[in-house]
Amino acid sequence: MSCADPSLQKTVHTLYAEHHPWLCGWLRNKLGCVEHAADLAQDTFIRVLTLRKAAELREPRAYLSSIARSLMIDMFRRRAVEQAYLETLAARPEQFEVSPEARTLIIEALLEIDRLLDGLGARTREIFLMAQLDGLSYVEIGRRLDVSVTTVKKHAVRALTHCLMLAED
Amino acid sequence: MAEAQPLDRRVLEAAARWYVELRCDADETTRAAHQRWLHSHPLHLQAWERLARLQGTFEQVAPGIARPTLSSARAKRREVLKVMSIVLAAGGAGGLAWNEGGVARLMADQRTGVGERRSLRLQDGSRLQLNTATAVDIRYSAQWRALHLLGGEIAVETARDEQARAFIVHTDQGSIRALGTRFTVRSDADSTRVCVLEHAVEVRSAHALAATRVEAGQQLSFRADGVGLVQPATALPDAWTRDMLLVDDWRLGDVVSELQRYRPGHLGCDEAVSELRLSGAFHLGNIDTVLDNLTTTLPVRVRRFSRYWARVEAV
Repeated sequence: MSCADPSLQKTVHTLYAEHHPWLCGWLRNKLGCVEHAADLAQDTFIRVLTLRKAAELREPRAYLSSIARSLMIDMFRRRAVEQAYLETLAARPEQFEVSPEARTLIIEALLEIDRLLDGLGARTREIFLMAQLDGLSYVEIGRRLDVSVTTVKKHAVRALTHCLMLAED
Repeated sequence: MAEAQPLDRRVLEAAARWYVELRCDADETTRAAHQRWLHSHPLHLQAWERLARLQGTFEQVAPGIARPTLSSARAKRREVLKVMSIVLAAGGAGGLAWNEGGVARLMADQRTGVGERRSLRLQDGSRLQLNTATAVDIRYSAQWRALHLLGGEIAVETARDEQARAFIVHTDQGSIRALGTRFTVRSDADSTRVCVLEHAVEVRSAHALAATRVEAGQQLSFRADGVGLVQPATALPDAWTRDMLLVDDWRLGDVVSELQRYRPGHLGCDEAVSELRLSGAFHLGNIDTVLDNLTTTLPVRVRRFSRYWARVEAV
């Protein structure tokens, strides 16, 4: 496993010693929060360990900041989904209990769906969601959007294929 | 075995096509044809299994929850990503806010997070205090001392300016010109409220030319398309600068939504108790303590699902 590779560990150790304070500062600047910056800096180095590319680095800071940047974007995505989920729950007239475990699973599922839907055109996404989440028939979707059933199906196939390509076994 | 082979687009698209066909009321012939397709190649089966798992992911979330959550998450994210690209391209232009959206707000000169308050002295000696979740740009020039309140609430105490420049607070809905004063300005999504503590201010809504004068002890709300009526100010509108919230015969629902401003996450109020009335002074330092105190004086309890979700309900 990568983490057991002694030369990699040594490289990451050096990387950490030389650039960790800088990365924390960089992240603090972006995020305006010391705590989140420290967490993300930590996650960045964990990612470096698992990506196993540390040995070939010529521009360590550019590399670290690009990883940190993608982690930041992931984090924003997660926060947006979590927040939106809680707001949606709160806006419902009836209150229903969701255990913390179930909530974690649901948020994971929502994140996954959100990720899968990335890159789909607005219309394709809408048609897909109407079918998958609202459970509408293709005929009904066609009626609501004033398009033919053939068109609806075409979008549905495109969206499904897109999701299947991104989904992992 | 076939499982080592990656599924290519063609196979996945075929699976998707079958799924769509079967979803429309498929007859016996179609179903049989699908079965034949399924078993004609191991990859077909593998693709179909992936589809079933995908379906499982979608079914995990109740329909009424998934749709609104996803579209609101997307809206939030669009906002943030826009900022991310600007901030990252600019290379560290200040911090990113964590709780409020809005490009400008995230890039503002001075910002506070939810629950945070800050006091600062401006270059001319005027004092500016920021309440929770507030963003302000400070634009001093040879002619003006201008603040742009992008959202949230501020308290201003203007100092005499040696260059006699006007002191103006802009919001999305209009502007407030200080006439040597102390006042607070609160900006919500579509309206601004100004409360004057000393002397007076002149208010102009964005689309109006005439100014409305607001004197000490008065308040005025305005929107972009016009100003409201000048009214007596609420008692101590700047109580928050001393970490206090004063309420006098308020609806519980209004108290809770006011407290929400100071607490990260969601804070809701059950309609069954939102009409209860209360008066008092609350310390803004710890909102959860305030909530717990409510339960000792009113027939309510606080239900918490997580650190970020709480709701005041009937006992």
